[in-house]
Amino acid sequence: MSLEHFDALLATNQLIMDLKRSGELRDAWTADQEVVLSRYPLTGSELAAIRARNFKALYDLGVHQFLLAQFARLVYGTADGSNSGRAVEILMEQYGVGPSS
Amino acid sequence: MGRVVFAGAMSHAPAATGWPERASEEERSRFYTGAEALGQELLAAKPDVLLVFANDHVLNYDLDNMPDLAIGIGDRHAGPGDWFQAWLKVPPWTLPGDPETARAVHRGLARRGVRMAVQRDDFIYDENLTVPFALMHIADSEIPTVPVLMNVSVPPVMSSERVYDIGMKLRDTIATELHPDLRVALLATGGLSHEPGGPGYLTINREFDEWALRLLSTADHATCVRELTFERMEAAGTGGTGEMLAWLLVMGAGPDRPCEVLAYEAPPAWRCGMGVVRWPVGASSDA
Repeated sequence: MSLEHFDALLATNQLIMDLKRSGELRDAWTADQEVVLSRYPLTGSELAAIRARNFKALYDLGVHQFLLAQFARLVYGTADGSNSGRAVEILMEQYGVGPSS
Repeated sequence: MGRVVFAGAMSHAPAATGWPERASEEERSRFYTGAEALGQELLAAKPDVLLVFANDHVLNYDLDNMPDLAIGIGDRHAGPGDWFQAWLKVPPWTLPGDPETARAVHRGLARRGVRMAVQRDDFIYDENLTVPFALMHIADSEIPTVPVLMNVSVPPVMSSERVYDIGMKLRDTIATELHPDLRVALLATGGLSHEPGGPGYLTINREFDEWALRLLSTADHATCVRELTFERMEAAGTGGTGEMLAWLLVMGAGPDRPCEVLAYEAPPAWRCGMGVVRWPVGASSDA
């Protein structure tokens, strides 16, 4: 993959960066993610991918890979704090990568 | 004139404190021992200030406004950020800043053609400083600290030659523009091979890591910089391995001597090659 792939101006990137930085926004997301989504100029494709938790589609739209991993962790959490938790498993499944060792 | 009294580098993968039990006891012990030794050497050097170079994980700056280098000039630095505390599983840390030295470094590098963004409020820190501070046991040291965050994952990214050159300019700044007799410790964090968030997320490129460490521990700096390119780092793990650019910057600020490898482990569940190295900066240095 390539770092050149992402779109710096994609609204989803800004959404994820803001979620990382703001506990208040994370609480709002937990309460009602649609309210949070409505605050960002997201395209129909972005909204569909976010709602479907389609990380591969978000990557294809231009989400930075680092933010993709963090969004997965934000959405699915890490049951035991490990990056082999559900978040990473789903991300890898969508990349078409086999289970971790 | 100031002088470099310590130069080292270590990995900062969150697994090292967040899920250490997923490594074998032997792997974890060896890595922890290496990190502790690095911390002991830093403390024994009795630095007046610690300059720490690490990457920003797309946290403090937006993708469309990302500086190559950003220096924290505040009088206090504390971490980790809220969202990272439960993940990293270490106590919050606080270290004093050193605004005078930070401003002198900023000014000195600017005079030498290096642009740095200035961060007046504290950065938000994640594993980049938190993991090394915890494992080096320096979180309670009260050493005045100046953090410098680097961009390694938002193109265009600086080349290995450029960051090494910045390191040499930093050495000159330390020697000529900082407070006389100032004892300066330099620490780089990040690397080795990993690909956070990408298809190679579960993979460690051990072959690359061992090659890179062999290079850094045997070759002269010119060879290291020529061979350990950002492109090779990226090929070994996109978006993560490039953190080793911080290592090259710190290397450039010291004498042209190979490093000593204190530890290297690659626990599969940590998803990152984990290294600890130190560079000799003794009396024979040319700094």
